[in-house]
Order: sequence, then C-alpha cells, then structure tokens
Amino acid sequence: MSPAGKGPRWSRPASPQAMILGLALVGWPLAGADAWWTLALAYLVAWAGVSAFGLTLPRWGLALVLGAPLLTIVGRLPVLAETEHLTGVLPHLADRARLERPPIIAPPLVRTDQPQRFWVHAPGASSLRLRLGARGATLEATALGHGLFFADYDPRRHGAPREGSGPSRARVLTDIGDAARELQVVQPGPHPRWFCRSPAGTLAASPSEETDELYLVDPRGRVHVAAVGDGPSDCAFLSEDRLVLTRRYTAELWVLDRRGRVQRRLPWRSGAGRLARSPSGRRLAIAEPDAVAVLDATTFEVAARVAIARPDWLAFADEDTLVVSQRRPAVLRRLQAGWGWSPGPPLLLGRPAVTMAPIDGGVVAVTTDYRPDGQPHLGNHFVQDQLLEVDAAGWFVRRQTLTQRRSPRQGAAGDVDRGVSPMGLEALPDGGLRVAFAGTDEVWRLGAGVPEITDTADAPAPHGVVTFASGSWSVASPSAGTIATRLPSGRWRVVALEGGDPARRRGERGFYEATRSGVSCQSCHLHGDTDFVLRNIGGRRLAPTLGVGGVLGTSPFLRDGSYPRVRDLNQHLSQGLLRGFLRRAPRRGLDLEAFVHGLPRRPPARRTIDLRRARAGLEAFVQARCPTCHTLGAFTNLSQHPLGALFGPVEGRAPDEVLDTPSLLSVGTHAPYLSDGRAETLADVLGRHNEANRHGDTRGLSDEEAAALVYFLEVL
Amino acid sequence: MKPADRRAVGASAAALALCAAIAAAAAADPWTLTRSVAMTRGAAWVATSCLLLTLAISPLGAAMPGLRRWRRPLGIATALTAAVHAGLAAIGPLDGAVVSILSWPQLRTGALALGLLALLLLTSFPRVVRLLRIRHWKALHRTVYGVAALVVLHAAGAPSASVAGVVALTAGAGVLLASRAIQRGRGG
Repeated sequence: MSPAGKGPRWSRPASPQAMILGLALVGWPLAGADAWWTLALAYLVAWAGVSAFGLTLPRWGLALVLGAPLLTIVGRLPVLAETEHLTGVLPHLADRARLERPPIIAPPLVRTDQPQRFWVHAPGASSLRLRLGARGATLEATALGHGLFFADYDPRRHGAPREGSGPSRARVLTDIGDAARELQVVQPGPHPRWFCRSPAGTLAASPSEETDELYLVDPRGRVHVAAVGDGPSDCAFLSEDRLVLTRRYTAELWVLDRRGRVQRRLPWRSGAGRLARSPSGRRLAIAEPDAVAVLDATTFEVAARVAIARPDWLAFADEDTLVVSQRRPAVLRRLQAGWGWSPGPPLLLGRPAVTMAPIDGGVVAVTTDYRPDGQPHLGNHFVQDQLLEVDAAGWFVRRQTLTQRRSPRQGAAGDVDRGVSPMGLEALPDGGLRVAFAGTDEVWRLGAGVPEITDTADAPAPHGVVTFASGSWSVASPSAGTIATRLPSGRWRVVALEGGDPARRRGERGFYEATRSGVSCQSCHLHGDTDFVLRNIGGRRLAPTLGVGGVLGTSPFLRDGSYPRVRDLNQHLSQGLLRGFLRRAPRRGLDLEAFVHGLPRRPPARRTIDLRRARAGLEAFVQARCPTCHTLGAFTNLSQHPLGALFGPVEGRAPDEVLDTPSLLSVGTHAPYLSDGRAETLADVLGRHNEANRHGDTRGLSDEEAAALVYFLEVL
Repeated sequence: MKPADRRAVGASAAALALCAAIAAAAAADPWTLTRSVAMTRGAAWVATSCLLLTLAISPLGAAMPGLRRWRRPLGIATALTAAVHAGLAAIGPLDGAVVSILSWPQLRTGALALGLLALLLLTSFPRVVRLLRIRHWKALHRTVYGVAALVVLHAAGAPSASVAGVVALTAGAGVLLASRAIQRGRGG
C-alpha cells in the first residue's frame, strides 16, 4: 500500500467518505438491498466501522470489492422498486397532474358507440361548451355550481370526435377563456356475441352493439351485414322470416326481415336488453333496466311487466314458465303464467349466471361456483366453472357439471387447459348441449359419453354458438370480430368482420383467456364488469369484485392501489400467482392494458337530471367536504389513505390497510359500497358507516341535505 | 450564549413560529380532517424549505462565505420542524392508523428521513461530538443528501400533495445536489 498522496493514483488509499460509501454498498446486499432503510443502515454501519477501526483500502482494492455487490444491487432493483412502490410512480403522477390542472374533463375516454356523460370542472366559469375533438358537434354543458358542468354526449347526434381510435384534442370553451385537453377516443370494431336462431334452423343472427349492426348467418356460413340503428342488444326470431330486435339506447323495438330490413318500429322503453322466445313462439320476454316484460309475440301486447332489479338472462323453460337471472343478488327467478307472472321464491346460486339457455323442462345456467346458501366461498381467487341444470317445475338444481379439466397438452402438473369459462350454450334436439368456452377456445358437444371437443382457432374466446338444421354450426368471437361456421364436411368457413384496434382486440382475447390455474379476468370481472361477488383475494379479506370499466387515468389500481399499471396485474397476478398461460403472447400485458383502458364506465344511475335536486346535492357534497379527496371533475384525487384514519376501528380489518380513493363516477350503480361491501346503500356510507365523521363531514348534514347528496351521487 | 447557538435558536424559533402561524390559520377550519391535514402539510413545507435552504448553503457559500454559518442553524430547524410535521401527522391524518408509518412505503420513507435527521441533529452539537468521539463527522452529515432524496419520494407519494409542488421540490433538490457534486468535483 502506497503512502497517502504518493505513488500512482489508483494505489492511493481511498478517502474515508469513499470507504464508507463503498462498504455501505458492499453491506447493502447482505441486508437484502430491497429497502431504503437497509441502505441507510448499511451506510451507518460502514461509517461506524470506518470511524472506529480506521478501515481503509487502496482505491483499486475498493473498486475490486465493489464489483459483485454492485451486480447484486442491480439485480435486486426490481425488488427495491416493488418494496418502495417506485414502479409506476410516473404514470400515477401524470394522472394526478392531469386532475390538478383545470379545466378538468372526466372521464378522459370517449367511446363512439354509446352515449356518455362528461363532467368538467372549470372554476370561475359560468358558461361552458365542450368540443371533444376536431370533428363532431360542440356540446352545451349545464352548470351545477362551483365551476362544475356536465354535458351529455350521444355519438349518433354529435358525431365521432375523430376518425377511428386514438388521442383527440378536446376544447373547453368558457366565458373566462378556452383550454385544450387530450382525451382518448375508442371506436370499437364489430362484436358478434350471442346468436338467436330461427325456429326451423335455416338462419341465425347476432347483433353487435358496438357497431350498430346485425349479422345474419346462413348454414353455409355466409354472413350478411345489416345496419340496424343505435345499440342493438338482442334478437329473437318471430318466424322463419321475421325477427325482433331490442335496443339499448333508443326507445324502440324493431321488427326486421331475413335480410335485416326494417318492417316495423314499435315504441318501447329504452335500455331494453335480452330477449327470450317461448318454445311455441307465442310469447316473448324482454329484460328492461328494472323490469321484465312478457308480451304476445304477434301483437306485442304486454301481458305483464314484473319489477325485477337489473334482470340479466332470460329463458322460457316451457310455454308458461320464464326463468330470469340476476347478478345481484345472484339468483334465478321463476315467473309463471299461472301466477300472473309474479316471481316466486328465488333460487340462490351464490354466483351469478354467466349465461343461460333453455332446455327441456328447465334451463342450464353457467356459474363460476355454486353455493346454494348464497354465501361467498372463502377460497383464494376461487373459481370453479360449471353448468347447472335447473328443474323449472321443482325449482331445484338437478345436475351440476364441472367443466374445467386437464388434457395431455398441459405444461405442468395441476394445470387446467380445457373447459374454462363456458360462455355460449345451446340445447340440441337430441337432448345434448353445445357449449362454447371463451377461456380455452373450444366448443364441446355434450351428450351421453365423453364430450366431443372442437378447437376454434379462428374464433378465439368464442361466445355464442348456434346449430343449423343442416348440421353445421357457427360460433362467434367478439374479440376477433369473426363468425366461424363448421360445415358438415368438417371444413371451416370464417368470416372476419373488419374494424377495431388490433391491440385492443388482442387484449380482449387475453381478458377471456384462461390461465393454467383455470382463472381468467372474465371469471370474476363478468363481461368486463363485475359479478358483485365477495371474494377472498390473496387471503387478506373479502371484497366485492370491482368493475373494470372507466379506469383510464385513475392509476393506481385495485382497492388498495397496489398496482400502478394494468399491465402489472398481468405480470404479477396472471403470470405469477395464477401460473401463466398455455399460449405465448409477447405483448400480453400491454394489449390487456389497451383493452381495459378502452372500457367505459357504466351509464349513471340517473339518466335524466332534476337540476334543482342535483344543485342542492352538489352544495351538500361541498359542504360535507367530499371534494377534499373526491375532487370535482373526476371525483377522485387518486390519493391513498389508511383505513383506520378514515373509518376508525373496523372489525376484522387492519387499521393500516390502504384505501385508494375511487372515482365517484357511476357510483350509483356500484352497490355494495366501501372496500369490503359493508355499506349496502350510499346513504349507509354517509351515515351508519361514517361514525368517526372523517370520511366526509356528514355529521352536520340535515336529512334533506343527505338525501340531496345521495341524489347527486346517483347523477354522476 | 455563543453567536452560533443564538443563530441556531433564532432559526429554529422562526421556523417553529411559522409552523405555529400555519396551525393557527388552519385552526379556523371546523372539520378535523382538513384542519389536521392543513397543519401537517404546512409543517411539511416549512421543514422542506429549511432543508433546501440548508442544502443551498454549500453551493452559495462559495460566493458568499458568510452564509456558511447558517448551515447548522438551518439544519437544526429542519430536524425540529420535521419532527413537528411527524407529530402532527400522527395525531391528525394518521390518527387511528399510526402503524402505517412502518407498513406504508411512503410513510416509511418519511420516517427514515426523520430518523436520519434526528441523528444529524444529535451530532450537530460539538459537545456531543466530543463526548461520542465521533470521527468523520462530515461523512455522517453528508447523509443529508440522502434525506433530501427520501423527502422527495415521501412528498411524491403523499395523499393530496400537489404534483406541481412535488415537481418543484424535485427540481430544487436536484439542482442543489448537482451543484454540490460539481463543486466537489472542482475540489470545493
């Protein structure tokens, strides 16, 4: 060792500071190199060591000993980033920055296939117009006070803000100045999903809500595309040559011919969803937002309109028995003509029906678990796809068929690669069943004996399946935008419907694709929404499944804000915990993120607004200090808070549990509320579950003000 | 009292008085949560300002040597106001969830910064340095740069923190760290 200051530079002793730093970097990997406090500790220990013992090395010696530790530190950087929540800091800050610069427009996503309500916070403005892009009309916004405005956008009336999908420069025009903001426009492609079949099996049809089209398919697999107006939701054949179409956004039923030409328009309630046809064709049933209508298929006279909250699937078990599924509660309801179509006692399923089809004397419903007591299953991420055969007369589940299974192509022990996410059902004349599996790209023919399995490579994540009288059958893939027909010869005829962003389509397929554990995103986030089930996720606590729509610009994600980007869910959850996928897809995380970011929020609970009540509600919202965290505009400031600090002690919950501030947009449709679903209504959130008065200053609100606040929240 | 101690007391008193003034202004808010958040945030910005001023002494001291005598007083004020900020947070926005300080990365970062500041505060007194026979005092006090980095991370993750403020803080700390590094490279 050379004396200090003499000899070559590299052989001189390292300075005390360099020694301390160097030894700290050597010691840090020994302490894990996964947290800042271990780095601080290593530095202090090194400092103490050098101070106490005068440790020193030549410069070259120090550089030598640092080699391996530095490599270790570099290798541990991902762990450090995860421990210290460094991943995704920038996207999160970018989302927060967008919400700090008024005027703020929310949501930042424009869908060109459905009406939306936009909120704009422009403090100081008393009038406001909104132009969503270079094209399309300028919207007049309505002021509610406190610089908050809303504007209802209808793509049919106002036009698309731009050609195709991509960023759009929106203009906010106010009396105090104009501003430009960037929004994302999504123009979805064709999405054929489920089919309706003509009585004699010579034609089938599938509507695409996204593109306002109806696809008429013949037994040879030829597809005729008909433009059928705004938001067609479901169809049913009245005869071999006529079919009826329900519409989501227009208050009309349409009767069409075999070529999709309009024969009749009937006034109806808007928001009509699924349709069902009785076996003889004499009756129809229509699911409306808050009721089920049973009507005469010839005269369209309503025989009964039964109040049922958010009915989902409909199926006539026989001429006089209609079965209705609901997501929340997860039940089936039986309506019988002999009882005036009044619903009888519900049949508890435990999990909602993913899809349902009539069979002889009953229905078959698909669920991801079956708990006749309706209680949540406590298994971590528990999913068990199955077909439930329900006897309509006895009103019980007479058979339960689990579908997930393994085949020789599975990569590792315990993996599941068949029968995941049944999505389409069709009863066959011989008593069998044809089932399309969206999770594993296949169609089964179930009957006596072993299932006949057909892979549907050209129709990935298949939804609907329909069999023609000729023996051919078709399957629809909304993610790929294809209708594939298996001809009696065994050949396939595939019709690809053009349109849609490729990344988003790949992401949609990935959404439905099964992991090796038999779980897909779809398993819980039913059709991009939620199944409302209380789930044990990660063995921590039960929490109601979140909907997936409307998350663009709201980083971080999940109730505890634990995922900074959607793509991280793919990495950590799908690829890690759920053991990855059979199929390689290099851009899987990014594509999934693109798809999820393009999903819209549910429409608000209240489509029409009583301005007086809404303004009173906004006053109460401000008075209760809700904008402290649910800032005006996006109704969230994307902050995280400890549970105990907001709600005080909550049974069974740790006080330091993280709560990510959710956006209140569409909150009126998201019951139950709070992170564990313990609040059944919005009024409960403000009252019974805010005893500490820290989740808003609601103690001072009168009953009238509290009711107005609830109304305002339902308008969002 | 020695002039150095007078400066230390003066700087600390001024910083604490500023915290008190912010707290008094916030006290008018009738709602507990926003009141406590305002007080906590106010103390945070006072502490952060003291920290940045402390860091600025070295690069500015090359041109104005008289400023150097203020480094220790400002450093002491930083530690004291950071402790006030932590205390207000514990009894205010974190009331009912103080354990979060150890389990939340953002809070853990702040706690670590406070711990290091406490160590620097303790070793800011010559009597203590002599008693503990501390050598390489400068190497210990250079951890203030690590504290600055921790404070930036802590602020970035703070609920309701203004992004513009965080960006300004990051830029300020970055400029000061860079100028110190350049100065040191030139032998300063």
